[in-house]
Amino acid sequence: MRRTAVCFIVSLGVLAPSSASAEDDGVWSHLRDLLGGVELTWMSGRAEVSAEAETGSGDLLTVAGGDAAQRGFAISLYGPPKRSGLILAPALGYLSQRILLADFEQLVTQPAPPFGEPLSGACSFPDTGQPAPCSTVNSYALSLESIRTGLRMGYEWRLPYTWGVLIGSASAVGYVLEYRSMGVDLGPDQSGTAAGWTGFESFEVGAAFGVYWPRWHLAVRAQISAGEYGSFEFSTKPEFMGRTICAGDFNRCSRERAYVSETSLSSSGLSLGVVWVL
Amino acid sequence: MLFVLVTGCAAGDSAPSDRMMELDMEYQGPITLWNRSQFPLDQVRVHRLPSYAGAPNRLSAPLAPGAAVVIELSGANRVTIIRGKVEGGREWAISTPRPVSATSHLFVLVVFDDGFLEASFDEVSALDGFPLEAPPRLPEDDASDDA
Repeated sequence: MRRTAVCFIVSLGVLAPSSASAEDDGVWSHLRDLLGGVELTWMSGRAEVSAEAETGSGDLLTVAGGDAAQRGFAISLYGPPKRSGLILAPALGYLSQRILLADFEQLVTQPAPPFGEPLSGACSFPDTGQPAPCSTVNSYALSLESIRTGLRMGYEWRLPYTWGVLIGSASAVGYVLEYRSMGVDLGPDQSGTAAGWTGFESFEVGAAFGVYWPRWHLAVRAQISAGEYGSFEFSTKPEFMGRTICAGDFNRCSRERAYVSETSLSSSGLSLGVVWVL
Repeated sequence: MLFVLVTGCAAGDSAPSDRMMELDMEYQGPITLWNRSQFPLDQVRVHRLPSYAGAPNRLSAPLAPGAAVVIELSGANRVTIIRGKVEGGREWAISTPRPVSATSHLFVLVVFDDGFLEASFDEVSALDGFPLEAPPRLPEDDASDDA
């Protein structure tokens, strides 16, 4: 499963207390310098989604391609730069994302049969008797939650003014350890889940700019980012409608049954955002 | 005046024809049902009214994809198959929009993922995967064998 996202990332940093009180508490000072602050990030935008599924005969298919809406948020450690220069800092964060594909149903056109009389079906739910469309709707909704830790490397700069500090960065984050929980809903009745620990599977690169107000312990920044997430196998494999196959003897076509076996994600984004300040 | 008479004759002719069709659709006896869908069929119900609620299941066991079974029609034969919409998913019923046009034991109803095909035994018996070697036997065939 592959996802390419164009996302808007707007960040609001709430920084640790100023250094005026740090002399009174050496441990807190070191901790504050190490962690920097807590950043809450909202993400929204568009994504392109494709999924790989396995058919009953063992073929791997790419299914579920299309545009998707994406939204989510992240909580992570971030501190604005104290000086311009290279950085190497710990990264710790929580990420929650949801990607929605409403429907990418592929209509199957039935050729005329070589013999016999075709009868279209009238579909319904036996438990309620309610009629329902016979076509199978393929929809896709991915929920991703990740708690991860790693290292941030890059370059940061700052331009102080009387009213605040302009900040910027170009950095890469490699996640050493991650606990990831994924859920995917395919159609109204199918879902798949995957959860577990992984290491060295995901990373992000990005560039950010913003404003830091030291006296209020606040920063606001916008970010352009791209991320890669490693592949994950589903513990329960949701069924999906795959490629269109036709039975030559009947001239009858249908969507082949397939089962989504694993997912891997990648995202790239351009910031076009709305800034929200607490 | 002549026009009226001709019209009257035409109307009079059509009534027996409709009755014949109705009689044809009230065939009672065995037919073959061939599952050419990708799904195992949990139930096959035959019913007179459009609603299949309460109609008994004609299968003694789920019918696997590619398998065929002989079922008995009992007149005004609408057929409904019930299966999981997806594996492990909600039950899903697909019904013929009208009674099937079976007139003999050589009738074969082919079930697809989202519909049906009415065919004859001769048309499908030579196709790859058709599991039956002979059409269903009629009660009179059994009687003559006994004699």
